[in-house]
Amino acid sequence: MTTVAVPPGRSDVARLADPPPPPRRLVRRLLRPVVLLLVNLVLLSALVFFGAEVLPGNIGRLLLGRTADQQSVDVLNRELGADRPLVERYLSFMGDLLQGDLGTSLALRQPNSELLGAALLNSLKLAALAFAIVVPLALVGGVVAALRRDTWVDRTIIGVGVALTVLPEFVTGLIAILVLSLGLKLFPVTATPPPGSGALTQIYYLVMPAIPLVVVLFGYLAKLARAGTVTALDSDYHRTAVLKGLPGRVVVSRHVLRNALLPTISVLGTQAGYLIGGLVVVEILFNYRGVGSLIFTAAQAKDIPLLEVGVLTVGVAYMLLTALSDVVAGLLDPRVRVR
Amino acid sequence: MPRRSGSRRLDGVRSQVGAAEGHVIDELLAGRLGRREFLRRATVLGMSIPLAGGVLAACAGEVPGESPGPAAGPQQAGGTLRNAVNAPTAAIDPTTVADNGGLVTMCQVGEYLSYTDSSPELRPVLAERWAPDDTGRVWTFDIRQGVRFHNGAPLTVADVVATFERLADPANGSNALSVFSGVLSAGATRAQGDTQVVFELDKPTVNFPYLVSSQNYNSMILPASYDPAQFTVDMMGTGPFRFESYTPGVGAAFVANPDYWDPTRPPFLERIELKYYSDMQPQILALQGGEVDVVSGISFSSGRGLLADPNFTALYVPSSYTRHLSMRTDQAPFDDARVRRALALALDRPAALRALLDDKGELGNDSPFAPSQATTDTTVPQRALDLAQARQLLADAGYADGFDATIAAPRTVDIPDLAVTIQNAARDIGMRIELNIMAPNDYYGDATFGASPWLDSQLSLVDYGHRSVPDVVANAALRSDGVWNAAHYRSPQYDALFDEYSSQLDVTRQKEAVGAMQRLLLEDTPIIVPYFLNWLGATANGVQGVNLNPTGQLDLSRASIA
Amino acid sequence: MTPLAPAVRPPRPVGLVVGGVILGIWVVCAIGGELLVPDPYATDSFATLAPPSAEHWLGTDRLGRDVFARAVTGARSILLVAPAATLIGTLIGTALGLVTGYFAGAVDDVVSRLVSVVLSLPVVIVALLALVALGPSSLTVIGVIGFIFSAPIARTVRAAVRVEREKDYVEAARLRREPALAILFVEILPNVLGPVLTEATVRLGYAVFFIATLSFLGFGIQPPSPDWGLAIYENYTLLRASAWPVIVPAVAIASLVVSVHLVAEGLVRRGER
Repeated sequence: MTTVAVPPGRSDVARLADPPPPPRRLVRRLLRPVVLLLVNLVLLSALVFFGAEVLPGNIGRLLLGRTADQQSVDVLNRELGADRPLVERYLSFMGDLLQGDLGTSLALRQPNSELLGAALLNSLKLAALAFAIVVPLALVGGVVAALRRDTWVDRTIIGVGVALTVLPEFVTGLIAILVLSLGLKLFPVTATPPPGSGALTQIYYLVMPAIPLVVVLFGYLAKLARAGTVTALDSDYHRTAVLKGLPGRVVVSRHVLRNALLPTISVLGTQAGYLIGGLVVVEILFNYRGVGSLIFTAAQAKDIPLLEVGVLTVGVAYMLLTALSDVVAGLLDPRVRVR
Repeated sequence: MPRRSGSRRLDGVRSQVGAAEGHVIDELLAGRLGRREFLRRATVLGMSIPLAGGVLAACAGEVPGESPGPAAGPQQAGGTLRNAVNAPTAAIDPTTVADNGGLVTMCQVGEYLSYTDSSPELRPVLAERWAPDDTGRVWTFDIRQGVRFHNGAPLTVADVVATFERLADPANGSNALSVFSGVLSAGATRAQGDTQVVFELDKPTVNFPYLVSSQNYNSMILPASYDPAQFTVDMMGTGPFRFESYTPGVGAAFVANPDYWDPTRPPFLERIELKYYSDMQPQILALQGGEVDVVSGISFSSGRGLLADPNFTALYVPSSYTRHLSMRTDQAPFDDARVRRALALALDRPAALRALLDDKGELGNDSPFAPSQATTDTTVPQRALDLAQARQLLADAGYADGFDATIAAPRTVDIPDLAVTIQNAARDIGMRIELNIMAPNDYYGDATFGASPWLDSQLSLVDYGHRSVPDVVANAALRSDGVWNAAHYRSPQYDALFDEYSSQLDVTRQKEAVGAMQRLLLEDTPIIVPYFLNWLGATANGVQGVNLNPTGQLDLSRASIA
Repeated sequence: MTPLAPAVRPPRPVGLVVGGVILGIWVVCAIGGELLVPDPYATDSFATLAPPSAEHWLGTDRLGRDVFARAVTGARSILLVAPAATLIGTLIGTALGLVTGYFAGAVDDVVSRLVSVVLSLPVVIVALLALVALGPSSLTVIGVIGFIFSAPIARTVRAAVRVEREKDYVEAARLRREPALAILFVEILPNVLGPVLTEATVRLGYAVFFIATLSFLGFGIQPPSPDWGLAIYENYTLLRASAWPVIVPAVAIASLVVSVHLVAEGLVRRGER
């Protein structure tokens, strides 16, 4: 078995995906993943709900502080419905969810959908920027490594890239802050741009938090790009192209790059899942209001409703993106489709 | 100034004031009252600062000035001041606010009957003056006329009555209930004519004006029509700044109020921006990165690099903000006062103050009475490091070989570091202390006995916020029936002294009672109070007049930028 | 599975050697601890955040504690907690994988479904929730990380067992009417140890990563431990006043995770050859 450096947090979903369904009737084949997804979602919601509800703590006391009068605490608990039985709360939680009502944050007393929507958008912006930086970088790195296969260039790009992959985000983030923000004063240290900033300003503010994500992803993607390129270079198809007398540069750009791109795209789905959920550290370090920091603050404040829908959203996004990337990989790669 | 002419001027003042105030003036004249204490007492009793200052001037020939933040040179008008603020952890509703972010936000628009910060004096704001009856049970406040809310509606006595009724009614779950409990009940506030509000208290309360001042930060005066759900939409107040915008989790903005009622204190700033941060660290980095101009309420441990940085102006405000190490006086081995004293003697307080706070604070003397509070007896000897005596005490108590113990502490600001310091100190006398550092929420638990590591642990560290007068903490943390008595201290002697203190109108006897409590607590040592912290903040150079209030407000009414 | 890296000539085990040396140094530090360096808990109120000097080689932290001494002794907590968590994860995961792989049907369905649900959440978030509920301590960190890691290990083992199950020696054991447990642990287990060990080595690297991250978030190892992640959590606002108390543990974490990774990859490569 080949070990591929898998960025932590994204786990092994791709590798551990369910075995492909036997080629029976088409309806059944299409239905099975959908049913499984639904079962997973229900299980996830129960797991998240009961997991979050066992968090100790008296929510009223928590909101009012330790010096508050017991009477005020009781009033608030009643008002928030925190004194109802657990199963009753789960059922009403699910009922509301199915009707599209994500509930209200206990601590902030705002609709969860608003809080979550804004946070998701922020996380997606950050993820998009990280991808926009890392994909071209990793493609170039991987292709160069493949073209200089087994030389020091190859070993340096892949070796250093993979070694950087295992560094925790807060370590790379801190070093980036130290060097780029405090030392060279190139970038701001917080990631939230002033309200009403244009796209360029937003990107400028997001470069710093994107760096740790780029570092984590680079080695993994570069290795995939290298592998794809190597396969393409070794293929008959490439040999034919060279024999046809096409210049090397054209061969690389036309055929090899396309082949290197395929596996890279197919894993983007699972990587995006990681990015949306695993941003906790980066978002906290850079004070960025994304889903990760939303979940972190909700967990600290024991804001159960917000915590539940936040974690649920991450799980759902993860599952959907995994399914999506499987489909995309299938469409892109004829071999997968045949299988 | 010759004493005689001063006395004659005082006679004039005496004729303007009531019996209680006259009593205070007599105390001053008799030399039993310091200048600072006189000012505090006089303002509590409703004498205006100019009037009280006049009394002092008559006696000593000086008039006390106001003490806003550092103001060097003339201040310029205009500009936008950007402030880093903790993100509010709950909906902003002045009635229930219990977190710093919410408080800093709402205090930009609102005002109180009176204002107090690090100095114990009360500055009249929406109340022009106030006075008690002869017993101190019924208080009458004259509400300032001509004040308008930001929507143009005039401030009326009905608004003031509604504000306090809202706070005192248990059904609203207000955060002020613990302050008003046993003092101000629902239905006890009423209007008297068009200009006066009368509070009929449950019992005589000499320090009542503090309970309706900015010290009780929930008591911001709101319109009678106030709706909690609307506050973040319009933030209606009477202050020098008006609401402009609020985005949850991101920030808020305010603009100068051109119609502010006090022509002597117009705001310098054109606009205020608050930027919310979920943590202290990013706030400090933001100031260093030039993204904000002010950070406030920072902990020394997180702000230390900043405070030493010449590119910024550090603000230090003395306060009674403190830490208590409570020792369970009802459980071995800390049921023996010698063991408790031994631990207190093992602690090198100046070193702790230097290492943890870089001396930005004052030494504690194992009682809740802070040097910055006016009734504290500063002649009580300061407890100092004495390892020999500590070891001797332990040996006398039968613990020559030491013992094992555990400190429970919340993971917040300097407290974990203080726990480590106490752990090291205990090691020097053979006490082996383990630390149990917990998330603050878990640590406070239900904040009731039997359901709170804070109140139930053998040794527990806790923080107490700033208070101008010691009443609340001295009562709740140490009286036998105190609701925060984590030491489980039961001393009829202390209870009696406290009751004497809190019921005395006579200042000298009040101060005597405090001195006796301080000595008793040194002897019994149910708590170790290592230090009182300064309230800290920092501004970019060129920012002037930022008034940090140890109660938690950030007063920008006199702030300006260069 | 398509090999992602083509067969190349055996690389010199440079990574394994370098990783092994760095890891070895940290293991020595973890074992030697206080014997090697000055007291890592001793505070000095006159020398807080001091720069490096003859007395304090890498300066002091905010309480005046020796940064070098804390970096050296800080290796212990993570080198205890990470392998312990990995071990627990491997034990639980292997047991789960054996059972679910061998007995197809309801047990397999339920467990596999739960595993895939757990895997659909990022590790940091699951760990964070569990630690908020259980209260952070070294023991809970070990338990939580171990539990989370058991899921992917179970998947790997399950897949390997499914292959083994169909082989003749298992069939023979079944015909001999050996009890199922004996078949699982005596017959099958030795044959799937390869993937188990591979997976465990890779997991160890992640364990270091996650535990350091949890400490950095304040939900891992607790004060006054000289743990590296905790040291960064405690000192990172002081970057401007003195970067030493942050940089030193950051470099220590970086060197440890990279060395564990190099050793793991080196071992896996050797195993493949």
